[in-house]
Amino acid sequence: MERRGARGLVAGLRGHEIIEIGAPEWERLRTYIQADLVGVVVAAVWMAVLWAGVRREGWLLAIAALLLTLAAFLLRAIHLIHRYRRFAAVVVFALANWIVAVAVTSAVPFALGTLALAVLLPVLVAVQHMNHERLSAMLGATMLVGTVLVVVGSVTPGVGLERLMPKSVTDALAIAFIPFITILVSLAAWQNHGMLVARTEALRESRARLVAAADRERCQIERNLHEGAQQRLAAAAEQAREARRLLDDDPRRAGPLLARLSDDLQEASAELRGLAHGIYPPQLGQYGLETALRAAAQHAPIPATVHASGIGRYPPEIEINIYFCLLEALRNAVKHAGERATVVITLQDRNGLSFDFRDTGAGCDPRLVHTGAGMINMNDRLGAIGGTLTVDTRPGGGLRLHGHLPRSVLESAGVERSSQEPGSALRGALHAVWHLIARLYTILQRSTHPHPQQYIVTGLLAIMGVALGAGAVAAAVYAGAHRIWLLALAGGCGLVTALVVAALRVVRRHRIEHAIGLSAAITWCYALTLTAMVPAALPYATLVSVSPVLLSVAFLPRRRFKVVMAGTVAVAVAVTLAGRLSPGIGLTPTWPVTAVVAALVLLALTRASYLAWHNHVMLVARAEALQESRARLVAAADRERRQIERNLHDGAQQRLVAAAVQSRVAQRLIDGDPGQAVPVLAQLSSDLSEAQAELRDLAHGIYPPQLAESGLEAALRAATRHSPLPTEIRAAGLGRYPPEIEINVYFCLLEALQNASKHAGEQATVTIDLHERDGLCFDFADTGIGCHPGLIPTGHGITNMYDRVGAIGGTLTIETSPGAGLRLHGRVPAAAHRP
Amino acid sequence: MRVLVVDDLPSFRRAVTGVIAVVDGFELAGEAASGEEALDFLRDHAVGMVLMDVNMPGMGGLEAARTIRFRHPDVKVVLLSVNNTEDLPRDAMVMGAHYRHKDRFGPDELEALWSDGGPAGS
Repeated sequence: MERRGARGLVAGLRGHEIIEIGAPEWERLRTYIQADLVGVVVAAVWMAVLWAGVRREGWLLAIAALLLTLAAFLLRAIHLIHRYRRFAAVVVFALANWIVAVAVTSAVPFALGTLALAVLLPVLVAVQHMNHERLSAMLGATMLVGTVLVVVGSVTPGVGLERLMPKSVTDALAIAFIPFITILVSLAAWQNHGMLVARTEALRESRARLVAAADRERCQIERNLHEGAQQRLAAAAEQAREARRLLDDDPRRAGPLLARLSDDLQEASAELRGLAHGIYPPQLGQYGLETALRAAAQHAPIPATVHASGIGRYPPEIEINIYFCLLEALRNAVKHAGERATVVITLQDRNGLSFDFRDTGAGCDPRLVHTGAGMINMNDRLGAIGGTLTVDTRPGGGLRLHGHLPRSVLESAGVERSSQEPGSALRGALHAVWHLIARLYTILQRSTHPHPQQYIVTGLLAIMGVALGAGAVAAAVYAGAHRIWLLALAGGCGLVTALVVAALRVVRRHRIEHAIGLSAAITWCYALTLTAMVPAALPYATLVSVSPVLLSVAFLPRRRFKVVMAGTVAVAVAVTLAGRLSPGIGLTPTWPVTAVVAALVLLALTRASYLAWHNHVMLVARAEALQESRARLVAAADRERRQIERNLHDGAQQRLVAAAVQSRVAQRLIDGDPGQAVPVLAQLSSDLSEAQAELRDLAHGIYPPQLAESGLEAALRAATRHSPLPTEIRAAGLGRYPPEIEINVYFCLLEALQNASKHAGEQATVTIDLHERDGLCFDFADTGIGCHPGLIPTGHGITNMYDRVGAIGGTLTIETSPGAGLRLHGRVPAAAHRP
Repeated sequence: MRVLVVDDLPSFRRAVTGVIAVVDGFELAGEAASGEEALDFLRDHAVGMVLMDVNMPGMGGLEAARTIRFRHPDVKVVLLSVNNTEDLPRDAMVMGAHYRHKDRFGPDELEALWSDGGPAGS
């Protein structure tokens, strides 16, 4: 599937879809870089045409060559995306942008207006692809490069392109490229906005799916135990009793019966082992991922090989999820890839744990990947432990899955790896630069946790400061020169100040959406007016005009965001036209003007970078609670799996094995001394009865049979029968609900009941009230000793209940205080379970 | 031959002692619930064969088998497991040890072990 060399690079350009279910980031990153590539190639062609048609200057060719180098960098970035190296792709993309921006600005300083924005682009793209640490390093680098760019653009004389070339040509360049880069910035913001909305939604859905899958599995295990092993055990116990009876009446017939019993027990044991293996393969716990996968590959009906490098042991939740992910992939390949397909699984621990699954099978249409339950399940599983899954397939082109668990995830799970990531010292230094800048900026902003209002207020105050300063200067100059336009300028500045004061009042009193709209309008008017009056301020104005769209990422709904995007692009065109065509107020670009513009550009760059940082924080923060809840639910389900497997392995399965051995001993004894077989048969019967009881209890704990048969009320009544506290259940007229609702409410109430028996005190009584009120409502109350409300969020049981009810779209509230018992109110709205 | 039975689960130890009792030529030397206990036992007692579970808490059957083979090369080690040997990691196989499936274990298997290499064989 992978092609090498130049052909491979070009093939990567066209590319087939790379899929990340629920978060199509790879595809977006590539589209984005492709768009940048188009811009760069157009610029290079432009330079070449200028060289051929207008002026045969060497520097024109040099710029064209530079742009082509940038194009090569971008091709490399696209190629890296194909190899799933997202971070490296973003770094290559950024380096290419930065190097070319600085080089071009040093040759033609007027390009600063276009390239100040281009410097910002990589960090906006990186917002959704990097963790906190990497992004802050990237922001540090952006600020450093931005500063260099501004200094270079302000200080160097350049090659004098403006003197050599008709003004119309340079104007056309600016008018084409500033809006183009603005569109790219807006697109990056649009993607970040989409991620903010999509990730939360995707996480919520993924959590619900995972819980539903775990519940289905519970139900399936219970059914398998009930219909398989338990029935076989009952039959075996009957045979053992029969053999014991025959021993007295007709010992010769007991022998063959015992032989049959031995075979039956062996089969039952194998069946139980198969079941336990499906729940949690014992090799995984004993020898780790590699061995368990080799065993799975060995039993697969198509040739499958496993390669592993640097793989050690990982926490169980990581091993189990990656194992089941790859097992699912293997099953998929067996089902769909065709008989001739082969599978290669590669595990690697380098800068995180990654796996690569490739089959040489029939492949499929990439669109089908989004609908396949298997793929979604794999993605959910891997996502729950902090990893990502990407799918690459084409009809006839096999299937490739790439899973990655970043080093940070392994480290937070307690996995120590000695190897150092390359460039960590540089990253640390850049990280420190950004922190220093961010700290300075937050002093300016007067808050470390900026609310949008705060941004808007700071921006408006800055505009007011500039307007007041400009007005004062205009008034002072008017006093000496008596030019009428200076008076008009002073008046205009006064008007802007008055508008800003009015806007500040609106911002403090009205909804955030209105505030953002108003601030965007003022910011754009300000940028336009400033550029019309002082064309040299164009680089600053271009940065100012994109700040509303960056601010909107975290706060506006999709529809309004589009309006802000359109406004941004329109303003970019207007600002560029004003900057290139307006004569201005005659302020010649002397060094004080250049210095002020350079300082303002840096300030605007800091502000934009800070907005990008803020968007990243919002992106992470909004998803974090859901991510944690999902991870907890998956971890709980995995713990339970391991426990069920352990119980089966140590309990019923061992008793079955022992019983089978005893049946062979009894068989041997019957031939020689039947009298001695009596105690062996008695022991065998007792082992079988105990195995039966163990299996019954285990199956009951996994999924109480009354729940499926008779519903919540009956299952809760059965559960409370064994409770040490007197419990009353009221559920008059309660109907049936979908299984996922019933099982989650059941386990939530069971957890509450167990909590009460543990903590409420011996004298407590419990009341459970279930009723239908536009959905299923339940109230749990105990008359126990209660607890301090502050302790509630720390309890595992309570978190578990919240997660369970949350996963089925319900809500849970808890009231308690010392001495006042505990009350719990839960509600699962009808909308959550009616399609 | 004196046999030491090592398994953390009493029910299986009981079943294996039953097997030893009905096969001629074998005699129960003792029982141990872990690899560590087995090594302690071997230090003080003469044993011809160790019947040991692979999956046990503590050092586990494979590690214990390796140590026994090293310290007592004359002792025949039989590892009993509910898994197939091909499912064990490649480097975990113990040189000179016999592997038997727990499901099929009984008097016939024990006699086969006797004939398979004799009392001192391995």
